[in-house]
Formats: sequence, structure tokens, C-alpha cells
Amino acid sequence: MSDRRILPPGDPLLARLERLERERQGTNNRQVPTGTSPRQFAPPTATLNARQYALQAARQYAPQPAPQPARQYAPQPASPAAPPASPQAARLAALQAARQPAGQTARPLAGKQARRKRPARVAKFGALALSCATTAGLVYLFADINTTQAANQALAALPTAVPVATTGAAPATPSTVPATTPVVDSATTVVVAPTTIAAPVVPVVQAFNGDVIDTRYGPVQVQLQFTNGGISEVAVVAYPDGDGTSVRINARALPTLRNEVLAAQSAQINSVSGATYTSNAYKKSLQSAIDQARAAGITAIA
Amino acid sequence: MTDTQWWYITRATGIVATVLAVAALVFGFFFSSRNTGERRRPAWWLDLHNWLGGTTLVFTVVHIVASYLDRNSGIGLLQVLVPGTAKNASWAITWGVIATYTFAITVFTSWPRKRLRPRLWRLVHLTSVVGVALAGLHAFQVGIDATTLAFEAGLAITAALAVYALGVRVLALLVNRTHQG
Ligand code: HEM
Ligand code: HEM
Repeated sequence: MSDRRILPPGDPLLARLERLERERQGTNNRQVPTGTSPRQFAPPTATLNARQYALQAARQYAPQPAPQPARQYAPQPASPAAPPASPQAARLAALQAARQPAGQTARPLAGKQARRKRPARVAKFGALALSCATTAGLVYLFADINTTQAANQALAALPTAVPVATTGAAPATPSTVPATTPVVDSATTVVVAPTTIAAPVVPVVQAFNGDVIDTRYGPVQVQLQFTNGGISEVAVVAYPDGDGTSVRINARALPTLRNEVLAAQSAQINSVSGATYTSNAYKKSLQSAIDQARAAGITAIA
Repeated sequence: MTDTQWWYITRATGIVATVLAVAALVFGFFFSSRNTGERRRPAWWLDLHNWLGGTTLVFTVVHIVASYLDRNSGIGLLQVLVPGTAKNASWAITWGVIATYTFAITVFTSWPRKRLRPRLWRLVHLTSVVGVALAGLHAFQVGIDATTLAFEAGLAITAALAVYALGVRVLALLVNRTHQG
């Protein structure tokens, strides 16, 4: 077979040609007899497309390799009478010949090129690793965002502070005891003069802002609200919320502290574990608010 | 695993699958463009392309399984398989379902590629381009994160990349036609 003769024994291309041939025959027999072609194939010229034709022509008219002693390919007899085994084989052989520069031996798909059939190993596994890492990172990020959002919602659900009325003379610091009794309508938070209210009917809310206590994470300030002399609510005016961790810690701590204050009706409450800074500052601010309330004449505090 | 955790996985794998699909598309177009042009096309581009295509399908499947396991998503077997059956965001999910079909067809016709006629194979293969566009639309419409700036910026960048690769491909086609006369 003419195609074989241009290839050295053991050439990968030769193996490929033989495989193609076996596939055509539908056999798996590896012992294809050399020299004889089981099925002679002569492609009718009419079915050759332009490219195939050009390649065949190139193959026929390509300059022949100069004979070399070592690793030499058998010279190709440019005989149009010996047709290739199959169209694929013809194409392969023609390509091989057409690519071959003048004066050089044919360079079959051999060695490194043949071995590097799957060349993108690093890029492939890099892409896979990156994809998995990104997925894990996104899952973590989503979970983190979600927890922070939940914490923010919990904090937003906490009671808000009401405006504290002060006299014009007194400086508007949170620790200032209101000179006139501040009366705040708890529903509308409109400050009304105490005299205009029928005292026993409308519940009177008195609000006192505690001191601003600085912690290393930010300031803490509470507001105590008294209704008819008892602690009815404790709002947080300020708490550390500058970062996600603080938000999450305080979302857990502040509702607990509030419940404790309402239950104890005093500043004698337990710290929330894991929120020591906030708890201590909270208690201090709370105590200062209670002191103000006492000074304002509210006595029913434990 | 809770519903919420499956939900996170749905979102994460959806985003990664979209990026992978665009990467596969880009390498596919780049590789084919070199084919028609005169420059050498590195074999590893095709190899990487095939890998990215397969990985896209894998991440898409994980995405779908996760959305199925998240009981709040409203995605059941019917919604996964039949376009237009989802109650919430019906159109958006429909795009996702169609995109998944095109990816699956593309991947599973590429292994036995040699058995198909080249023109037919390419026609089938190119449906994945529509699939990528639909996946992008799906992500934009249904994604909870689609309202965030980072997500939209990322989607815009991947879309631009895909359009660029398409441009390179079409240009190569035109140049090649002109050269051949
Ligand atoms: C989501 C998955 C995939 C997408 C979006 C995709 C997309 C593309 C695109 C856009 C092209 C360029 C076609 C052209 O311009 O004519 C291409 C080419 C190609 N793709 Fe894919 N592909 C995917 C998966 C695969 C897989 C899994 C394989 C093989 C295992 C594969 C094998 C190929 C080959 C061999 C070409 C080169 C065609 C040629 O120019 O001769 N693709 N692909
Ligand atoms: C049967 C097909 C599919 C189904 C049933 C499906 C289902 C879903 C669902 C339920 C969501 C909403 C998650 C949420 O609540 O935020 C979603 C989001 C998403 N999906 Fe799909 N999907 C399908 C196919 C795809 C495909 C093929 C891709 C891309 C390759 C994709 C990419 C995305 C992206 C990027 C998001 C946005 C994630 C986010 O909000 O962060 N999906 N999908």
C-alpha cells in the first residue's frame, strides 16, 4: 500500500491508518497483512472536493525527501495507479506530504505531539479548583450576609428611644435630669405639657437617657422609660454596630439585656456571655439613667 | 442540610455555572476562529473548551438538584423537566430549563461527535450559544442577588466577554470568506 510506504514502521500515523482500515472492515483483527490491501479503494474523481483534490495533488507533486541513512522514510513512488486504502487514509497521507517542506523528511504526528493529546491539564484542573473554591466562597458569603441581615432585623425590632424633653437652660446632654417632668405620649411621641393631661387617665411616660459609655467597639447608651413610676421599657440609643460581628453579637445580647431589665426592674442584671463589653457598658448607662430617675422623684425602683 | 443551605448552594452553583458556560463559549469561539483564520490554534484551547463544557453541565446539575432540595424554591421534578411549569417566575425558570437542555445536548453530542455529520454536529453544538444567553437571562430574572451591584457588574462583564468572542468568530468567518474570494 502506497500510504504505508512513506511511513516508518512503528509510526503512530501508520497505527492510525491501520485502525481506520480495520474499522472499515469491521474487524478487530490486529494482524492486518501488510502489502495487500483487503479492499482496494479508488475514489471516483467526481466525489473529491476541491480541498481533497488539492491535497492529493500536493501529495503527488511534493518534492521527494532526500534519502538519509538513519530514520529514513521509504521513498514514495508517486504512482497514481496505487490508490490509498480509504478516503481518510488518503487525506492523512496527503496532508502529511503536503505539509512536508522541500528537502526534509516527513514529520509524522509522533513523540511529544502525540503524547500531548490532552495538553490543558493545568488549566483544566485550575478551572475546576477555582470553580469549587468559588462555590464554597459564595455559599459562605451568602450565609454570612444572611446572618447579618437577620441580626439587623432583630436589632430593628428593638424598641426605639423617645425624645427626652429638657429645659432650655440645661445643656442637652443625655445625663441631664429633665428639670420639668417630661411627659411623652408613648403612642405618638408628642411631648405635651404635664398640666394639660388628666394625670390618672393617660399613662405618663417619663424617659431618661443614660450616660454614653464608650467601649472599644463603640459607645453604648440606653434610655429608660417609666410608666406610672415603673420601668416600662428600655431602649438602646447607641450600641456598637460598625461591623458584622458587633451587629450579630448585639442582636443576640440587647434583647436579652432588655428582658432582664424589665424583669428585674433594676440595673442588677446578668451580663450576656460573649457580649461582655456591651453588657458592662449597658449596665453602667442603665445605672446612670436610674440615678436620674431617682433624682427626678421616681422612687419605686429596686 | 437545611433549605436555607440548599438555597445558598443553588445560588453559588448557578453563578459558577454561568461563568463556566461563558468561559466554554469563549474558548469554543476562539478555537473555531483560529480554525478559519491562518493562525495556529493551540490544541489546549479545545481541550480546555471541552472540559469547561462538561464542568458547566456538572455545576448546572448541582444547581438544579440543590434548587430541588430547597423546599422553598417551588422546584419539583416537573418544573425541572418541563418548561413553563414553574409557578413563581415561570418565564425565568423556563429559560433555565431550556438552557440546561441545550447544554446537555451539546455535551452529549460532543463525545460521539465523529458519528455525526459535521454540519449537523455544529448546528446542534451552536444551540448552546442560545443556551448561554438564556442562562444569563434566567440568572438576571430569578436571581435574588441580581439586584446587587456586584452581580450585575459580573453579568455585564461575562456578557461582554461572550459578545467579544462572538465578534472574533464572526470576523474570522468574514475575513476567511473574503480571502477565499
Ligand atoms: C456548555 C457547553 C458548551 C458550549 C457553550 C460550547 C460552545 C461552543 C462554541 C460556541 C463553539 C464554536 C463553534 C463555532 O464557532 O463554529 C464550540 C466549538 C467546539 N466545541 Fe463546544 N461547547 C460546549 C461544550 C463542548 C463539549 C463538552 C465538547 C466536547 C467534549 C465540545 C467540543 C467542541 C469542539 C470540538 C469545537 C470545535 C468545532 C470546530 O471549530 O471544529 N464543546 N463550542
Ligand atoms: C432546570 C433548570 C434550572 C432550574 C430549575 C433553576 C432554578 C433556579 C432557581 C429556583 C433559582 C433561584 C434561586 C433563588 O431563590 O435565588 C435560580 C437562580 C439562578 N440560576 Fe438557575 N435553574 C436552572 C438552570 C440554570 C442554568 C442552566 C444556569 C446557568 C448556567 C442557572 C444559573 C442561575 C443563576 C446564576 C441564578 C442566580 C443565583 C443568585 O441569585 O445568586 N440556572 N435557578
